[in-house]
Amino acid sequence: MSNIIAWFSQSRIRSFVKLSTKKQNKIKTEIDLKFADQKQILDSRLSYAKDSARKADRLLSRGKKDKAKEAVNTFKLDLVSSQPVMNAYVSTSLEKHLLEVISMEGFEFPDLLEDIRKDIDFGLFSVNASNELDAIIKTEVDPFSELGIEL
Amino acid sequence: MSRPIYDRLAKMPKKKLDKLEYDHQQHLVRFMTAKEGKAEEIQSMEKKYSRLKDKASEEIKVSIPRVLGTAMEMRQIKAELLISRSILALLRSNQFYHRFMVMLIQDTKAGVEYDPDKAKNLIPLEFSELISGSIVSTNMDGVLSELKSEIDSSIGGE
Repeated sequence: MSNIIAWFSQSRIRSFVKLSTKKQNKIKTEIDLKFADQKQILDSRLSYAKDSARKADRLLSRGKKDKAKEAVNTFKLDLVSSQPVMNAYVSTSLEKHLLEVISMEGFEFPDLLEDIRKDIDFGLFSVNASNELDAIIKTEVDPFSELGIEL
Repeated sequence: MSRPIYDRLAKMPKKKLDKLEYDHQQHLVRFMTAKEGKAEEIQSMEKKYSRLKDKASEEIKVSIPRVLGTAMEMRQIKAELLISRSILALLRSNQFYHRFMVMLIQDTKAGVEYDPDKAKNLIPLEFSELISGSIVSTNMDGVLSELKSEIDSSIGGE
């Protein structure tokens, strides 16, 4: 079966190539703004989480175990709340970078390669629906388990 | 697959072939430069991730809460790495396409016979790490392996 690269088969992405430079730039500017907003929110959530972790560490070193536990719980909450933002950020970032590459002179969709070999890995571009992307991000972007930390 | 392209090229006058070769050469250089830039970016992110991992390994000996903040940073870098590696694959595919076209044009000009396996044979050289050490298929477990099986079965792969 051809066209397994989910992102490249989207009509929105395919039609972008045919647009005038002016229209392309307009779409890119919109994506850039969305990306900047999401990054700001994500950074802020991560900053909250890091603050909670530092607080928990400080409290623990002072022997305040219960309060430290509360701070760790806050951290967990920050972590969970950052996940959907992270997913949205990754999706927008992918689109932003994809449009930048598409705008490069001489760009070709990898249809030719896809016809020849089915096993080339185009990473996140091969991921279809947003829930699949979420699942990958959740699993792949989990240094906690890598460090042996069970939250 | 590339036979129609070859046939089209074979009918072109030399002057047109020269122009086409020049254009593909320019595109090749452009995508090669972009790919190298992206690869450097990835390398620098990987170094940063590795430094943070070392830091986390030290912190974890002292206290778990201390390491959580570092793990958060690692998480963000991992996400950026996934994105950048996906973009790298796309840049590399474009580099391959233009390199392949330059070769095909040069073959046509030199009167070399059409070889249907040429592209197939070139791909493993150019894409070895994208085929064997894939981007999202490494270290997969749980939902990811299920997803991989789904993708594999839908494309009729292994």
